[in-house]
Amino acid sequence: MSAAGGGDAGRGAEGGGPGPGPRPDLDRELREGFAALRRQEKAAAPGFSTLAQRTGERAGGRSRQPGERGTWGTRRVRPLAIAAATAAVAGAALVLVTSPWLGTHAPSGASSPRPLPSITAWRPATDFLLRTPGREILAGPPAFGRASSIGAGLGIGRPGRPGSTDGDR
Amino acid sequence: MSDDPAQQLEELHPASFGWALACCRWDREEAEEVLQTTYLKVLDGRARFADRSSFRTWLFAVIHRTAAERRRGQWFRLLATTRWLNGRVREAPAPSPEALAGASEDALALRQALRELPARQREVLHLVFYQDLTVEAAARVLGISAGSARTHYHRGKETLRGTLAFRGRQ
Repeated sequence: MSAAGGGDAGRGAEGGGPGPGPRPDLDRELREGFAALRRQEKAAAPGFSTLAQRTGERAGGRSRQPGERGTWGTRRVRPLAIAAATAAVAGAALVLVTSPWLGTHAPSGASSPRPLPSITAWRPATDFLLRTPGREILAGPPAFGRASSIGAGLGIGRPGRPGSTDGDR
Repeated sequence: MSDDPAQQLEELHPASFGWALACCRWDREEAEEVLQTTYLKVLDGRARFADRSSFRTWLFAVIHRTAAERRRGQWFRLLATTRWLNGRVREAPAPSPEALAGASEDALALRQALRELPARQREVLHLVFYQDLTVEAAARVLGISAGSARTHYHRGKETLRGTLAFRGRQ
């Protein structure tokens, strides 16, 4: 690996497409900075043999030849386990949704729901506010010989009753 | 380069370690773990080189993926612990005194500036300037489009320029 770090970086800068063009000063500064960083990290890197040894210890007895396909245990089981878990969750959800114990369905033998009142029978809750005194007089056409509802409580307009005007005649 | 994966790993080991460090935000312990897991995957046959790119590009992609898997694992473990309730997400440790003593001031300033970059920008810049890859090869390592990598490259450079200039004035 080259320590200069400039060749491909320069190519990268030139391949930048739209936007500000490459700035030689900035690129040079970055190349120098990254080169210093690389030197420092290279010096501090753990040895490959050390890391490989630890890797071997981690692998334990399950090391395999490079390029060999994974066994059923590593390659096949995980997708199958995920699929099985998904199927189990979906099945459980289906059972719960269709279960009669959850109350999502009407219990058998329950009375049918009350029919909704028709729109003509419906009365608003504030209907009583429209009942003004004397409204009964205007509710129907006047007729002779029939006591009006206003005078009914006082006996007005009924023959033979106290206060009746018919008896005075 | 030889066809033996173990030998190829050995030849690329210093570069791989540098890339693992960058993927782990210079957490040395974590980088070593990631590298070990990657080597295990390669030697165990779980990660197989398919000749679609250079071995180095492929190996760097495996390291990147392994680091990402490890981060996800850490996050899920954090979710399960009370540490998460306290909002104590693990920060990358500060460099050791030995590392500080051996490092030049420029390298330290650059590393600190890189730490502050978004991950994608940091990774693209590292692959281009540190590993001498082209932007297109960096895109293949990261599994992103070349256009996206170019955008990260330019933005990262602009941010770095500002950060380094600011530090230079201080």
